[in-house]
Amino acid sequence: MNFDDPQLIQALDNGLLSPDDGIKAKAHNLRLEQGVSESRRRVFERKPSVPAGSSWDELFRRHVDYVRLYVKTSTEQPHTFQDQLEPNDVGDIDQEQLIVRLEGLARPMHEFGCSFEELQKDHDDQDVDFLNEFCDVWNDLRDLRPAFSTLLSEVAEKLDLDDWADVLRDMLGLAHYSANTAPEPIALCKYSVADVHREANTKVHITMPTVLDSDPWEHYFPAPKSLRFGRAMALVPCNNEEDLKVELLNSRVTYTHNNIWKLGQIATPAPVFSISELREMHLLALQFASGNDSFGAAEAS
Amino acid sequence: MAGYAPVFPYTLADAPDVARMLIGHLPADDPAHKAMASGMISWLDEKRVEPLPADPARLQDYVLQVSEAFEIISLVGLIEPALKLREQYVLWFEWANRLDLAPSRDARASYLRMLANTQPTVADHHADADALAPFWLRLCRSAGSTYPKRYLQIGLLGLRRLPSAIEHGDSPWLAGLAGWALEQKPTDQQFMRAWLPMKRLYPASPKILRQRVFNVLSQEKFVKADIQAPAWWANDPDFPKTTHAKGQGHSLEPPARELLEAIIRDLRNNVAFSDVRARLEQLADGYERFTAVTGDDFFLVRSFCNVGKELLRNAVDAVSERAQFAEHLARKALRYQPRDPIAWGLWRDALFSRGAYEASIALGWETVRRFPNDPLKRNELAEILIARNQLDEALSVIHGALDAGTFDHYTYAILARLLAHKGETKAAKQAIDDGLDIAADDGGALLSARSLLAKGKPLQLVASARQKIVDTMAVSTHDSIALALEHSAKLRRLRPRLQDHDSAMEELQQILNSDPNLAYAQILAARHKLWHASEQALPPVAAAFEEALAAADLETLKALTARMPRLESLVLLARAILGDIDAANEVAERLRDDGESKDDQAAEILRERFRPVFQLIDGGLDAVVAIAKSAHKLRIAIYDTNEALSAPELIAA
Repeated sequence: MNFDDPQLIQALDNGLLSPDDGIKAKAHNLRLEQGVSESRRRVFERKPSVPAGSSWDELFRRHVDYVRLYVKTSTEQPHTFQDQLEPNDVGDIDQEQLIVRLEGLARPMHEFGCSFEELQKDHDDQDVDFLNEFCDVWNDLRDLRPAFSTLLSEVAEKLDLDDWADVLRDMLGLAHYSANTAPEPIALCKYSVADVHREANTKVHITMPTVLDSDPWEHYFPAPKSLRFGRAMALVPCNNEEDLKVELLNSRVTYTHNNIWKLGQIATPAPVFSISELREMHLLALQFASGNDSFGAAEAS
Repeated sequence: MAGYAPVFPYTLADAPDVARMLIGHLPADDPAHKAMASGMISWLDEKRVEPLPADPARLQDYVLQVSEAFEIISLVGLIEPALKLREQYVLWFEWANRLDLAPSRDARASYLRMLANTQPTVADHHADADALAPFWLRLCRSAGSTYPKRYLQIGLLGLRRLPSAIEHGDSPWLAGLAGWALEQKPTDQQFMRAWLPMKRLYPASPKILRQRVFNVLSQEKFVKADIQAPAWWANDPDFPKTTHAKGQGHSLEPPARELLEAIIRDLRNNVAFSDVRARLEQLADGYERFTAVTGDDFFLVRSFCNVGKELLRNAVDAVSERAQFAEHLARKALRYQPRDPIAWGLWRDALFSRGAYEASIALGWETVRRFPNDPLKRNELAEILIARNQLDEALSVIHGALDAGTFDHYTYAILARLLAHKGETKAAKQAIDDGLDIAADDGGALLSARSLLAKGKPLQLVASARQKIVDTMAVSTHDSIALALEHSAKLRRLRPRLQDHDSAMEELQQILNSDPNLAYAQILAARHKLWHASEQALPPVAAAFEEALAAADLETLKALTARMPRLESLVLLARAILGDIDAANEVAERLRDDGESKDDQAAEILRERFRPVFQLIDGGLDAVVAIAKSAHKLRIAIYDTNEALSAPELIAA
């Protein structure tokens, strides 16, 4: 992504030169991004959310502010899917394709007033009324922000593992689901492309993630546009391009009992590896996958 | 809350999840836990007085931040903020009440969920851990009318998290469900959708379930509505159709009538308070338990008010303790029926009787605000002010009553005493004559006053009962709720001076400066063009109405009716006094008919004040002309009604 504003250009350069690996990674993501349209970039530059400045910190704050105001939205569609901002469309996907998404349950369980065991039992018994009532409360808490998800086919083989929840967390780079002192309850939600389509009110409602679709995060890594889908950066080192998992964003799906596919608990803390090592290996895999070994080469050197 | 914290691995997590995972497992005395508690309070205090952002994107983010703050308090179990937000609910609810943009941006819902979920957390720190029970029942009943249908789940959650229900294994949420069904008339499918999850969460044998449901449905309000068990539960296979009221015994009754009668008898016979107290507590507990389980508050409110009045009337010993108990009963009654005028009066008088004079005056003003048509509320406030030697203010209350047309013969008796005390004997005599004109055969006090004045003797200024209390009772300190109500009391007493006194306007401006989100201040300021609802994000409807009325903006007034059906009569009358002929005819017709409507409370207040206009209309005048002739008094009635409607319900807990 290339800014017009000289101050933002300078700010990004400052980030890229930072000795801090975390800052450098976030700046790297902005520089490498290919999926943000010109119109969306201009909006990002123009929105006077944070005073313009040439320090990395000011660019960083602009990014955080932008996500809070225009991506985590409640009444208007997030910029991610707005037609006039030319979303990073993934193109046609078969309507029957199934999408899966890992969701944290701690908050909806608290607000609904049930324990994980109670929810698990009702899920095992397929108590439709209970699950739908739970979903009503949960849906009320969920806004319109884009949902990071993947295709079922990407993770299907891992779902029979006893520790499938931890494995998926690591594969999909969902570090924030980290069991600290107690297991983290999660649901694996499943819905079809048609389900997304049915509820959407924008032309494009499944997109390839871009750096502007979430807060600055060193565990995000932009994928070359030629790959059509994003590739989640795993929490563990990526050994080859086959380890890369497809990552996409879909607009909101209002859950019913049908969408709560599996319940589980993440039992381990998120693994910790050197961020620069993780990113180097992920970049290498992306270059292999895309057949483009110049992607990111300049910034990585 | 508003930014980003690079705390691996939680960088991308939402604030409530970060707080839960980093702090939630720490003990309450851990420095990090304490720091978060005090930080949340400071942050919320700052947010509450901030103007709301005008930009829609920022506004939705603001509401999200506030919602997440409430959620954090609940998720982490932050006792100090939870207690503060509960004790100052008048303030916080009033603020959060506006912050509802969408289901996922509804800070009011988050606030209420926080109150519900933290009931067990604050139980050890709160004098009455179950105090919110009546509010949850009301919330259930009004989920689908005053509040969105989704609030039913919050009301039920509140009832499920009542500390005493948890302790006793009670199911107060059954009464919540039944109350909701009675008010909102759900379809069978809707009811089962709400009922079955609760049934799953609280497994019980069919026999016990049926008994509990029957206990609820056998209460008067359901019987009166011809609801027969199993009623809404008929589609549950555990409730066979043969389960009906006939032949099935109650398992739960209110406390025996004999106990109540014996207590009242003892109080009248001057039995020492120490000998009555235990039975009083037993009585109160019995009513509360019965009401929590059945949702039927009729017996509780009536009995608490009766006993409370007897406690104050027969204070032969332990005056302060008796008054405190009466106050306790009044507040409990108000939690169930926040619009009960007797309970409000009891609370005010109980405060006075225990020497909390300023709080009593504040309550007096609050009762005038809430019951603008009740002469007794104004008379009693004037009596308290006289007892505290605030004679000018007492006179202003009486003049206000006469101006609003909310007076009776006793109002004139008070006026006569005040005038006589000032040496204005002729005016005092005239007041007595005016009073006798409206109560020729019920004017003992007036006749006696006239006789005294005729003999050149002074009138006793302070009523004997109040004088006795003032003579014996030391001034006691305020309690937190009375302090909270002082805000509105201060504004209510400022109101009559706003029209003509610059100093009053300055005072109002200062109040708004220090708390720009104080709803009552906004109403008064909008009325006097000091504050513009139209320039605000999420403007409160009551203030927007005042602004439109002040600007004689008929189009905005019409648009407000669509937004707030409960203001329909009020808006019509406002349009009518501005000369709208259609509105004049419609409001005259509407106020003549006392059938059920969506704006019962507004219509009830206005109907009384509209009576003189009916006389003109019945005498042959067109409605618009008759209304124009009474425009000044009707405008005051409109102000009174708008203020009464905007008084927060969540009170006295």
